[in-house]
Amino acid sequence: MSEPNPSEPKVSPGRRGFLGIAAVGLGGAALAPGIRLIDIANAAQPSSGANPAVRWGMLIDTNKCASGCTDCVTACNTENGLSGGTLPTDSQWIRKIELKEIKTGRTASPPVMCQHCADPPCVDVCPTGASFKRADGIVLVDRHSCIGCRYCVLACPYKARSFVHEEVSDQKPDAPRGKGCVEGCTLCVHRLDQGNPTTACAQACSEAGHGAIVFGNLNDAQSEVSRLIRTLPTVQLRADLKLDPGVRYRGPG
Amino acid sequence: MRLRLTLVLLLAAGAGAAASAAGAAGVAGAAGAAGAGGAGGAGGAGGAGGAGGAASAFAREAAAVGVAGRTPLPTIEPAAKGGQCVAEPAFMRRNHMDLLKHQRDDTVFRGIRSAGPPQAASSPSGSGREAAGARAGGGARYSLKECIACHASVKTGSVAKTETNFCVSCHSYAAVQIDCFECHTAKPAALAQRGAK
Repeated sequence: MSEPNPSEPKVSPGRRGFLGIAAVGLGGAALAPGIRLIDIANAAQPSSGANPAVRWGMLIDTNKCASGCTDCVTACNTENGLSGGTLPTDSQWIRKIELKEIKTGRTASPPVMCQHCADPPCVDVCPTGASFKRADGIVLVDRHSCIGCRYCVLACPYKARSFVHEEVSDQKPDAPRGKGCVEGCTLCVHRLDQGNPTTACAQACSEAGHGAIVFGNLNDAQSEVSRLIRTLPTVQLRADLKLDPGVRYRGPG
Repeated sequence: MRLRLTLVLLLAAGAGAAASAAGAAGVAGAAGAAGAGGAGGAGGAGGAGGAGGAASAFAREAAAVGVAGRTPLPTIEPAAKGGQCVAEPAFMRRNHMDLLKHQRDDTVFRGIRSAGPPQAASSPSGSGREAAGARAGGGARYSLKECIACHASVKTGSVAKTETNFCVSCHSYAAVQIDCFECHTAKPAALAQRGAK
Protein backbone atom coordinates (compact mmCIF):
# COMPACT_ATOMS: atom_id res chain seq x y z
CA MET A 1 0.00 0.00 0.00
CA SER A 2 2.86 2.35 0.66
CA GLU A 3 4.90 0.87 -2.25
CA PRO A 4 4.97 2.96 -5.41
CA ASN A 5 2.66 1.76 -8.14
CA PRO A 6 4.87 0.32 -10.92
CA SER A 7 2.34 1.28 -13.59
CA GLU A 8 2.55 4.93 -12.57
CA PRO A 9 5.05 6.90 -14.67
CA LYS A 10 7.97 8.13 -12.61
CA VAL A 11 8.66 11.86 -12.70
CA SER A 12 12.21 12.18 -13.90
CA PRO A 13 14.48 14.86 -12.38
CA GLY A 14 14.65 16.56 -15.76
CA ARG A 15 10.91 16.87 -16.01
CA ARG A 16 10.63 18.08 -12.43
CA GLY A 17 13.25 20.75 -13.13
CA PHE A 18 11.33 21.89 -16.19
CA LEU A 19 8.12 22.15 -14.20
CA GLY A 20 9.93 24.26 -11.60
CA ILE A 21 11.25 26.63 -14.24
CA ALA A 22 7.82 26.84 -15.84
CA ALA A 23 6.29 27.73 -12.48
CA VAL A 24 8.89 30.45 -11.91
CA GLY A 25 8.18 31.85 -15.36
CA LEU A 26 4.47 31.93 -14.65
CA GLY A 27 5.06 33.78 -11.38
CA GLY A 28 6.11 36.91 -13.20
CA ALA A 29 3.59 36.52 -15.99
CA ALA A 30 0.06 37.80 -15.93
CA LEU A 31 -2.58 35.18 -15.10
CA ALA A 32 -5.40 37.43 -16.20
CA PRO A 33 -5.48 41.13 -16.94
CA GLY A 34 -4.34 42.88 -13.76
CA ILE A 35 -3.77 39.70 -11.73
CA ARG A 36 -0.35 38.19 -11.25
CA LEU A 37 0.78 35.27 -9.09
CA ILE A 38 2.95 37.62 -7.08
CA ASP A 39 -0.14 39.64 -6.09
CA ILE A 40 -1.86 36.53 -4.79
CA ALA A 41 1.28 35.55 -2.90
CA ASN A 42 1.66 38.98 -1.36
CA ALA A 43 -1.95 39.03 -0.21
CA ALA A 44 -1.33 36.01 2.05
CA GLN A 45 -2.76 36.12 5.56
CA PRO A 46 -0.34 36.91 8.41
CA SER A 47 -1.02 33.53 10.05
CA SER A 48 0.10 31.61 6.97
CA GLY A 49 3.76 32.07 7.88
CA ALA A 50 6.87 32.64 5.79
CA ASN A 51 5.93 33.07 2.16
CA PRO A 52 8.31 31.40 -0.32
CA ALA A 53 7.27 33.84 -3.05
CA VAL A 54 8.75 36.72 -1.05
CA ARG A 55 12.39 37.62 -0.60
CA TRP A 56 12.89 40.31 1.99
CA GLY A 57 15.80 42.66 1.49
CA MET A 58 16.87 46.26 1.80
CA LEU A 59 18.80 49.01 0.13
CA ILE A 60 21.07 51.26 2.17
CA ASP A 61 22.01 54.57 0.61
CA THR A 62 25.42 55.49 2.03
CA ASN A 63 25.10 59.02 0.62
CA LYS A 64 22.23 59.69 3.02
CA CYS A 65 23.86 57.94 5.95
CA ALA A 66 25.53 60.54 8.15
CA SER A 67 28.63 59.76 10.17
CA GLY A 68 27.72 59.73 13.85
CA CYS A 69 24.02 59.05 13.28
CA THR A 70 22.98 55.89 15.13
CA ASP A 71 19.20 56.07 14.79
CA CYS A 72 18.99 52.62 13.18
CA VAL A 73 21.24 51.05 15.80
CA THR A 74 19.25 52.55 18.66
CA ALA A 75 15.97 51.43 17.12
CA CYS A 76 17.28 47.88 16.74
CA ASN A 77 18.49 47.79 20.33
CA THR A 78 15.14 49.03 21.60
CA GLU A 79 13.12 46.66 19.42
CA ASN A 80 15.10 43.58 20.37
CA GLY A 81 16.13 44.42 23.92
CA LEU A 82 19.87 44.64 23.29
CA SER A 83 22.09 46.47 25.76
CA GLY A 84 23.60 48.83 23.19
CA GLY A 85 27.14 48.05 24.35
CA THR A 86 29.90 47.87 21.76
CA LEU A 87 32.44 45.69 23.54
CA PRO A 88 33.56 42.53 21.74
CA THR A 89 31.40 40.57 24.18
CA ASP A 90 28.27 42.65 23.57
CA SER A 91 25.69 41.65 20.98
CA GLN A 92 25.45 44.01 18.04
CA TRP A 93 22.85 43.06 15.48
CA ILE A 94 23.50 46.21 13.47
CA ARG A 95 26.56 48.45 13.71
CA LYS A 96 27.80 51.57 11.96
CA ILE A 97 31.19 51.28 10.28
CA GLU A 98 33.42 54.13 9.15
CA LEU A 99 34.90 53.80 5.67
CA LYS A 100 37.44 56.01 3.95
CA GLU A 101 38.61 55.66 0.40
CA ILE A 102 42.34 56.27 0.69
CA LYS A 103 42.91 57.65 -2.81
CA THR A 104 40.09 60.17 -2.79
CA GLY A 105 39.46 60.74 0.91
CA ARG A 106 35.72 60.08 0.53
CA THR A 107 34.19 58.83 3.74
CA ALA A 108 31.03 56.83 4.33
CA SER A 109 29.34 55.48 7.44
CA PRO A 110 26.93 52.71 6.48
CA PRO A 111 25.24 50.29 8.87
CA VAL A 112 26.17 46.64 8.48
CA MET A 113 24.07 43.77 9.72
CA CYS A 114 23.24 40.23 8.65
CA GLN A 115 23.04 40.45 4.85
CA HIS A 116 20.51 37.59 4.64
CA CYS A 117 22.40 35.80 1.89
CA ALA A 118 20.66 33.55 -0.59
CA ASP A 119 23.53 31.08 -0.04
CA PRO A 120 24.42 31.74 3.59
CA PRO A 121 27.76 30.27 4.74
CA CYS A 122 26.54 30.26 8.35
CA VAL A 123 23.88 27.74 7.36
CA ASP A 124 26.43 25.62 5.49
CA VAL A 125 28.71 25.25 8.48
CA CYS A 126 26.17 24.93 11.31
CA PRO A 127 26.61 21.44 12.84
CA THR A 128 23.14 21.26 14.38
CA GLY A 129 20.92 22.90 11.79
CA ALA A 130 20.27 25.83 14.12
CA SER A 131 21.34 28.34 11.46
CA PHE A 132 18.74 28.22 8.76
CA LYS A 133 17.17 30.23 5.98
CA ARG A 134 13.43 30.76 6.08
CA ALA A 135 11.24 30.38 3.02
CA ASP A 136 11.14 34.15 2.61
CA GLY A 137 14.93 34.49 2.58
CA ILE A 138 15.47 35.53 6.21
CA VAL A 139 18.50 33.87 7.81
CA LEU A 140 17.88 33.01 11.46
CA VAL A 141 19.25 31.07 14.41
CA ASP A 142 17.01 28.54 16.10
CA ARG A 143 18.17 29.01 19.66
CA HIS A 144 16.54 25.77 20.73
CA SER A 145 19.11 23.83 18.71
CA CYS A 146 22.07 26.26 18.82
CA ILE A 147 24.89 24.79 20.90
CA GLY A 148 26.95 27.97 20.86
CA CYS A 149 29.90 26.53 18.91
CA ARG A 150 30.33 29.83 17.05
CA TYR A 151 31.33 28.19 13.77
CA CYS A 152 28.85 30.52 12.04
CA VAL A 153 30.51 33.53 13.64
CA LEU A 154 33.74 32.49 11.93
CA ALA A 155 32.07 31.63 8.64
CA CYS A 156 30.20 34.91 8.21
CA PRO A 157 32.23 37.35 6.07
CA TYR A 158 30.16 40.29 7.36
CA LYS A 159 30.85 39.79 11.08
CA ALA A 160 27.10 39.77 11.51
CA ARG A 161 26.76 37.16 14.24
CA SER A 162 27.19 37.80 17.97
CA PHE A 163 27.50 35.38 20.85
CA VAL A 164 25.66 35.96 24.10
CA HIS A 165 28.30 35.65 26.80
CA GLU A 166 26.31 36.49 29.89
CA GLU A 167 22.93 35.73 31.32
CA VAL A 168 20.19 37.98 29.99
CA SER A 169 17.14 39.19 31.85
CA ASP A 170 14.11 41.23 30.92
CA GLN A 171 14.04 40.21 27.28
CA LYS A 172 11.43 41.46 24.86
CA PRO A 173 8.56 38.99 24.43
CA ASP A 174 9.19 38.93 20.67
CA ALA A 175 12.96 38.67 20.94
CA PRO A 176 13.92 35.85 23.28
CA ARG A 177 17.67 35.65 23.83
CA GLY A 178 19.92 34.00 26.35
CA LYS A 179 23.40 32.96 27.33
CA GLY A 180 25.22 30.42 25.19
CA CYS A 181 23.54 31.07 21.85
CA VAL A 182 24.61 32.88 18.72
CA GLU A 183 22.33 35.59 17.41
CA GLY A 184 22.10 38.17 14.68
CA CYS A 185 19.75 40.47 12.79
CA THR A 186 16.36 38.80 12.26
CA LEU A 187 15.04 41.45 9.84
CA CYS A 188 12.47 42.03 12.59
CA VAL A 189 10.88 38.73 11.67
CA HIS A 190 8.26 39.06 14.43
CA ARG A 191 7.00 42.27 12.84
CA LEU A 192 6.88 40.79 9.36
CA ASP A 193 4.99 37.73 10.58
CA GLN A 194 2.45 39.98 12.27
CA GLY A 195 1.92 41.86 9.02
CA ASN A 196 3.99 44.97 9.72
CA PRO A 197 6.03 45.26 6.52
CA THR A 198 9.01 47.21 7.83
CA THR A 199 11.95 46.72 10.17
CA ALA A 200 12.72 48.82 13.24
CA CYS A 201 15.89 50.26 11.64
CA ALA A 202 14.20 51.20 8.36
CA GLN A 203 11.26 52.73 10.21
CA ALA A 204 13.49 54.78 12.51
CA CYS A 205 15.61 55.97 9.58
CA SER A 206 12.63 57.16 7.59
CA GLU A 207 10.88 58.66 10.63
CA ALA A 208 14.02 60.67 11.40
CA GLY A 209 13.88 61.99 7.83
CA HIS A 210 17.07 60.34 6.58
CA GLY A 211 15.43 57.80 4.30
CA ALA A 212 18.70 55.92 3.92
CA ILE A 213 17.22 52.46 4.49
CA VAL A 214 14.51 51.13 2.19
CA PHE A 215 13.10 47.75 3.15
CA GLY A 216 10.87 45.58 1.01
CA ASN A 217 10.21 42.51 -1.08
CA LEU A 218 12.94 42.03 -3.67
CA ASN A 219 10.73 39.59 -5.62
CA ASP A 220 7.97 42.13 -6.12
CA ALA A 221 8.86 44.27 -9.13
CA GLN A 222 6.46 46.96 -7.91
CA SER A 223 8.02 47.42 -4.46
CA GLU A 224 10.03 50.56 -3.82
CA VAL A 225 13.19 48.64 -3.05
CA SER A 226 12.94 46.72 -6.33
CA ARG A 227 12.31 49.90 -8.28
CA LEU A 228 15.33 51.58 -6.68
CA ILE A 229 17.77 48.74 -7.23
CA ARG A 230 16.55 48.47 -10.81
CA THR A 231 17.24 52.14 -11.54
CA LEU A 232 20.21 52.99 -9.31
CA PRO A 233 23.71 51.53 -9.36
CA THR A 234 24.03 49.47 -6.19
CA VAL A 235 26.45 46.88 -4.89
CA GLN A 236 26.37 43.80 -2.70
CA LEU A 237 29.11 43.63 -0.09
CA ARG A 238 31.79 41.08 -1.02
CA ALA A 239 29.94 40.22 -4.21
CA ASP A 240 33.01 38.15 -5.17
CA LEU A 241 31.92 35.52 -2.64
CA LYS A 242 28.73 34.93 -4.68
CA LEU A 243 26.55 34.67 -1.57
CA ASP A 244 23.84 36.89 -3.11
CA PRO A 245 23.08 39.05 -0.05
CA GLY A 246 19.59 40.47 0.32
CA VAL A 247 21.01 43.78 1.53
CA ARG A 248 22.40 46.12 -1.12
CA TYR A 249 24.38 49.35 -0.73
CA ARG A 250 24.41 52.46 -2.81
CA GLY A 251 27.75 54.24 -3.02
CA PRO A 252 28.66 57.61 -4.53
CA GLY A 253 26.65 58.76 -7.49
CA MET B 1 0.07 4.03 4.55
CA ARG B 2 -3.18 5.84 5.12
CA LEU B 3 -4.88 2.62 6.11
CA ARG B 4 -2.17 1.87 8.66
CA LEU B 5 -2.52 5.33 10.19
CA THR B 6 -6.28 4.89 10.45
CA LEU B 7 -5.77 1.58 12.23
CA VAL B 8 -3.42 3.18 14.73
CA LEU B 9 -5.90 5.96 15.38
CA LEU B 10 -8.73 3.46 15.85
CA LEU B 11 -6.65 1.51 18.35
CA ALA B 12 -5.79 4.68 20.22
CA ALA B 13 -9.44 5.74 20.33
CA GLY B 14 -10.42 2.26 21.55
CA ALA B 15 -7.90 2.38 24.35
CA GLY B 16 -9.10 5.82 25.41
CA ALA B 17 -12.74 4.68 25.46
CA ALA B 18 -11.86 1.59 27.50
CA ALA B 19 -10.01 3.66 30.04
CA SER B 20 -12.86 6.10 30.57
CA ALA B 21 -15.38 3.27 30.76
CA ALA B 22 -13.38 1.30 33.31
CA GLY B 23 -12.40 4.15 35.59
CA ALA B 24 -14.81 6.62 37.11
CA ALA B 25 -12.00 9.18 37.06
CA GLY B 26 -13.62 10.79 34.03
CA VAL B 27 -11.73 13.47 32.17
CA ALA B 28 -8.51 13.37 34.14
CA GLY B 29 -8.30 9.60 34.17
CA ALA B 30 -8.74 9.34 30.39
CA ALA B 31 -6.17 11.99 29.75
CA GLY B 32 -3.76 10.29 32.11
CA ALA B 33 -4.17 6.92 30.47
CA ALA B 34 -3.84 8.26 26.93
CA GLY B 35 -1.03 10.71 27.65
CA ALA B 36 2.48 9.45 27.00
CA GLY B 37 4.29 8.28 30.14
CA GLY B 38 1.54 9.35 32.49
CA ALA B 39 2.91 8.73 36.01
CA GLY B 40 3.28 4.95 35.73
CA GLY B 41 0.18 2.75 35.97
CA ALA B 42 -2.36 5.54 35.75
CA GLY B 43 -4.66 3.29 33.68
CA GLY B 44 -5.03 0.66 36.37
CA ALA B 45 -5.69 3.14 39.14
CA GLY B 46 -8.53 4.83 37.28
CA GLY B 47 -11.16 3.46 39.66
CA ALA B 48 -9.78 5.31 42.65
CA GLY B 49 -10.94 8.68 41.34
CA GLY B 50 -13.57 9.47 43.94
CA ALA B 51 -12.09 12.74 45.14
CA GLY B 52 -14.08 15.04 42.87
CA GLY B 53 -15.38 18.51 43.62
CA ALA B 54 -13.33 21.56 44.48
CA ALA B 55 -9.99 19.74 44.59
CA SER B 56 -10.44 19.39 40.82
CA ALA B 57 -8.80 17.13 38.31
CA PHE B 58 -5.32 17.66 39.68
CA ALA B 59 -6.14 16.22 43.06
CA ARG B 60 -7.96 13.34 41.42
CA GLU B 61 -4.91 12.53 39.33
CA ALA B 62 -2.73 12.63 42.41
CA ALA B 63 -5.13 10.37 44.29
CA ALA B 64 -5.17 7.98 41.35
CA VAL B 65 -1.43 7.44 41.55
CA GLY B 66 -1.51 7.23 45.33
CA VAL B 67 0.76 10.11 46.31
CA ALA B 68 -1.75 12.41 47.99
CA GLY B 69 -0.89 13.47 51.47
CA ARG B 70 2.89 13.13 51.48
CA THR B 71 3.56 16.42 49.72
CA PRO B 72 1.14 19.33 49.77
CA LEU B 73 -0.40 19.77 46.32
CA PRO B 74 0.61 22.96 44.56
CA THR B 75 -1.76 25.88 44.65
CA ILE B 76 -2.21 27.03 41.10
CA GLU B 77 -2.95 30.69 40.58
CA PRO B 78 -5.99 31.23 38.38
CA ALA B 79 -5.31 33.14 35.16
CA ALA B 80 -5.64 36.86 35.72
CA LYS B 81 -7.80 37.27 32.64
CA GLY B 82 -10.21 34.50 33.57
CA GLY B 83 -12.12 32.86 30.75
CA GLN B 84 -11.32 29.68 28.89
CA CYS B 85 -7.89 28.22 28.18
CA VAL B 86 -7.05 26.99 24.67
CA ALA B 87 -7.87 23.45 25.82
CA GLU B 88 -9.27 21.68 28.87
CA PRO B 89 -7.06 22.24 31.95
CA ALA B 90 -6.57 18.50 32.48
CA PHE B 91 -5.40 18.12 28.89
CA MET B 92 -3.12 21.12 29.18
CA ARG B 93 -1.51 19.73 32.33
CA ARG B 94 -0.53 16.54 30.56
CA ASN B 95 0.27 17.92 27.13
CA HIS B 96 1.31 21.57 27.30
CA MET B 97 4.95 20.64 26.66
CA ASP B 98 4.08 18.89 23.42
CA LEU B 99 1.82 21.70 22.29
CA LEU B 100 4.47 24.30 23.03
CA LYS B 101 7.21 22.34 21.31
CA HIS B 102 5.16 21.84 18.19
CA GLN B 103 4.20 25.50 18.13
CA ARG B 104 7.79 26.52 18.70
CA ASP B 105 9.02 24.79 15.55
CA ASP B 106 6.10 26.14 13.53
CA THR B 107 6.90 29.65 14.69
CA VAL B 108 10.68 29.60 14.42
CA PHE B 109 11.01 27.77 11.11
CA ARG B 110 7.74 28.50 9.34
CA GLY B 111 6.94 31.92 10.75
CA ILE B 112 3.46 30.99 12.02
CA ARG B 113 2.98 33.49 14.77
CA SER B 114 -0.57 34.80 14.82
CA ALA B 115 -3.52 32.71 15.87
CA GLY B 116 -5.60 31.26 13.10
CA PRO B 117 -9.24 30.21 13.29
CA PRO B 118 -9.90 27.98 16.31
CA GLN B 119 -9.75 24.28 15.54
CA ALA B 120 -12.68 22.07 16.41
CA ALA B 121 -10.81 19.91 18.90
CA SER B 122 -10.78 20.70 22.56
CA SER B 123 -11.74 17.30 23.92
CA PRO B 124 -9.13 15.87 26.24
CA SER B 125 -8.83 12.46 24.57
CA GLY B 126 -6.08 11.41 22.19
CA SER B 127 -2.38 11.30 22.75
CA GLY B 128 -0.53 14.56 23.16
CA ARG B 129 1.89 14.50 20.27
CA GLU B 130 -0.70 13.58 17.63
CA ALA B 131 -3.22 16.00 19.01
CA ALA B 132 -0.64 18.78 19.02
CA GLY B 133 0.16 18.09 15.39
CA ALA B 134 -3.49 18.07 14.40
CA ARG B 135 -4.51 21.16 16.31
CA ALA B 136 -1.71 23.63 15.89
CA GLY B 137 -2.34 23.66 12.15
CA GLY B 138 -4.66 26.64 12.40
CA GLY B 139 -2.04 29.17 13.47
CA ALA B 140 -0.33 29.99 16.71
CA ARG B 141 -2.89 28.75 19.23
CA TYR B 142 -0.30 27.43 21.63
CA SER B 143 2.10 30.34 21.72
CA LEU B 144 4.18 30.72 24.87
CA LYS B 145 3.66 34.46 24.63
CA GLU B 146 -0.11 33.97 24.92
CA CYS B 147 0.32 31.58 27.86
CA ILE B 148 2.30 34.24 29.67
CA ALA B 149 -0.15 36.98 28.74
CA CYS B 150 -2.95 35.15 30.55
CA HIS B 151 -1.16 33.37 33.37
CA ALA B 152 1.26 36.01 34.67
CA SER B 153 0.74 36.63 38.37
CA VAL B 154 -1.02 39.83 39.33
CA LYS B 155 1.46 40.36 42.15
CA THR B 156 4.78 39.65 40.47
CA GLY B 157 3.76 40.21 36.85
CA SER B 158 5.50 36.97 35.97
CA VAL B 159 4.81 33.27 35.45
CA ALA B 160 8.13 32.19 36.92
CA LYS B 161 9.44 34.70 39.41
CA THR B 162 8.36 33.13 42.70
CA GLU B 163 7.37 29.64 43.80
CA THR B 164 3.71 30.54 43.72
CA ASN B 165 3.72 31.78 40.13
CA PHE B 166 1.84 29.75 37.54
CA CYS B 167 4.60 27.74 35.86
CA VAL B 168 6.85 27.31 38.87
CA SER B 169 4.12 26.15 41.26
CA CYS B 170 3.65 22.87 39.39
CA HIS B 171 7.18 22.50 38.10
CA SER B 172 8.70 22.73 41.55
CA TYR B 173 6.15 20.17 42.80
CA ALA B 174 7.00 17.81 39.95
CA ALA B 175 10.74 18.63 40.14
CA VAL B 176 10.91 19.37 36.43
CA GLN B 177 13.27 22.14 35.42
CA ILE B 178 11.88 24.79 33.07
CA ASP B 179 14.41 26.05 30.56
CA CYS B 180 12.00 28.33 28.66
CA PHE B 181 12.78 31.36 30.75
CA GLU B 182 16.52 31.19 30.22
CA CYS B 183 15.77 33.00 26.97
CA HIS B 184 12.06 33.88 26.95
CA THR B 185 10.77 36.60 29.20
CA ALA B 186 8.38 35.40 31.87
CA LYS B 187 6.42 38.64 31.77
CA PRO B 188 3.67 39.72 29.40
CA ALA B 189 4.44 42.35 26.78
CA ALA B 190 2.97 45.20 28.80
CA LEU B 191 5.32 44.53 31.71
CA ALA B 192 8.49 43.37 29.96
CA GLN B 193 11.20 45.93 30.43
CA ARG B 194 13.64 47.12 27.85
CA GLY B 195 16.78 45.32 27.48
CA ALA B 196 19.14 43.30 29.18
CA LYS B 197 22.34 43.85 30.64
